[in-house]
Amino acid sequence: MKTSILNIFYRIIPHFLFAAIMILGVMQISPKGSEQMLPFLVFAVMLELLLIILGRKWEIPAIFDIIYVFILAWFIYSNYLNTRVAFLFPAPDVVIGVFWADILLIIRSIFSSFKLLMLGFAIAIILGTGLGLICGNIPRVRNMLLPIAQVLSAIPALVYAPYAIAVLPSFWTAGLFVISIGLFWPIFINTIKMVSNLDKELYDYTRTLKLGKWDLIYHVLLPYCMPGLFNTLTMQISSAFMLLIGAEMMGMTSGVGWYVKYYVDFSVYKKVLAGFITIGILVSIVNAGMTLVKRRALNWVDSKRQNI
Amino acid sequence: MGGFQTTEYLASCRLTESSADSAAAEKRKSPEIIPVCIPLAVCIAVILITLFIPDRIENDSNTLFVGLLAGLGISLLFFRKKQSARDIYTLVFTLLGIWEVLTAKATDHLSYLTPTPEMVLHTYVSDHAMILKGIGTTSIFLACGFIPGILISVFLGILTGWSLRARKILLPIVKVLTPIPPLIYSPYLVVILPSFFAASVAIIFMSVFWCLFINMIFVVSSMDPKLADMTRVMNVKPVTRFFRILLPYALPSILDRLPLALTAAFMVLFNAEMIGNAMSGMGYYIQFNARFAEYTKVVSGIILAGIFIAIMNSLFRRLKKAVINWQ
Repeated sequence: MKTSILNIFYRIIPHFLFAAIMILGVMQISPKGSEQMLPFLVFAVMLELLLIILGRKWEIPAIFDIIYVFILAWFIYSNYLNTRVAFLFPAPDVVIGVFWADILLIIRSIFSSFKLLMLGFAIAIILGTGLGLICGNIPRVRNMLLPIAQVLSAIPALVYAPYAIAVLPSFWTAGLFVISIGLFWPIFINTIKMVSNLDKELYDYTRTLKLGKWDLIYHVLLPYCMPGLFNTLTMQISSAFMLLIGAEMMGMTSGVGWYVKYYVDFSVYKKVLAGFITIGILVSIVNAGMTLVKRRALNWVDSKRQNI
Repeated sequence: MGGFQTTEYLASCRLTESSADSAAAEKRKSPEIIPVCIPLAVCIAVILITLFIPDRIENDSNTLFVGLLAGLGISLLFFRKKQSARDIYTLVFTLLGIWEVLTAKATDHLSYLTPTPEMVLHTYVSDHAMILKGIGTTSIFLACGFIPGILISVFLGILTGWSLRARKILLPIVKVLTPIPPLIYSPYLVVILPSFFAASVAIIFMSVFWCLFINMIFVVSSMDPKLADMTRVMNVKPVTRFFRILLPYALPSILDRLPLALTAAFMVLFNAEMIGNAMSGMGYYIQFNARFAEYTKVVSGIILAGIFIAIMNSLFRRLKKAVINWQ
């Protein structure tokens, strides 16, 4: 982007917005009390620091424009314009205050959700790749199971939840079942497809090298399926979260979904909104972790092919 | 597999011509009869078991179940040419048989958690009014959220993907917002929006929107730069560019994405029906009966949801075949 007056103007806007937020926030100290406003002001300053650190690239100020405008609009609406019941539309300072007051419970919820999600992922990956590798190797079984799996994978796994809760011993196992089965089908289908698309020449090489069936699966097919597996996982992150939240809302007693559902039942909407933000944080952590693991596990694949 | 064919080919070469012909003729004949017999035999066996081994528990009339098995057996004859179809039929008949034997013939106490197939089929007859109403309600809700969701997300996604500036600015925000399950908003939306219908439609809209929007951005931005340059050189009008180039370019991936969007939308609707004050709907039917521990109806509701989604997905596939005739 070339430097022009417009461009300088456009770089300065977010700082003006920040100043407006700070002024409005300081003005609210006297009616609301400083312990209420302090976390919000600290949060705004942290955002501004982030902007100053990252602000070199041209798109960062624009992204912060959007964030600041959003916060400002929310602040003004909930503090000055809202004429409906105040607790339905809590102000941003109230929501940030929840993080201040409830941080232990929120961190515990994040850990609990994370544990359930990772267990679900682990079960689905082990079963999905394992069964997929075995079934994909036998053409007849593959042709039989693929259409069935495609029908079953389209059924939203949350539908099973009421029945799973009744059959399985605890809510937690029912939740784990729902998450694992929801993730299992896409991984299974993808593995079967990958195995059946394996280059015929590679098969012949393995046969020339006199590789056994298990060697073939472990040393050839498993690494071959890795990039596809990671792509499926990245694509399934949103549906995994959907299942996680759904399962937690169905009656578990910990986790972010539970946190939101619990406080909806008590009509504490500031905590509900804080729960939304917490999920955003959790999603970002999982996404970042996934990218990291992917880069680590696929360091032998060149970066262009990693995204296939 | 390639090796197999080669050895077979070599083996057949060694045979004299006439015997090879007769072997081939035999091969052509045998798949007609023997493989079809296997699923049919399983089917008949299950029917016989159902009819003649007495139930050890109090069960509903088995007419429907036998009728279903016979119907499946007849429909098998239309697909008898394909080996995979025969295998699938065999598997389905076997599973139905195991279900029947385990729940009705092998135990002598009736568990409310494990209904027999007869009972499940019976609910479709006895409860048909509520089920039909549920299908109707769910379809209306889905249509009202789904269609606007597709149109708006495709429109905005293509525009965002086309402009480098908009993409660079919006993509980081969208990447954080997309995986946040719209499910989580449902309890809040049910409270702040005026009616349950509005809340459900809003949530379905959001789930479809987030499912397609980021995908559209990626698809359009990964378009061949030569093609993009060509449209610039030829000075194509923006409207023409949108409808004649970008939309057809993105159409296959939109249609590929629809089943995923449908599953997500269904999941969200199901959850909303659980939380809000729904009066009917397929998810509501499952929830409502789970609350009264009527697990027979829960199981039939789950199966019904599966069939509904399978039909919708096959419609999407048909649509894709009909619309994308240039691939």
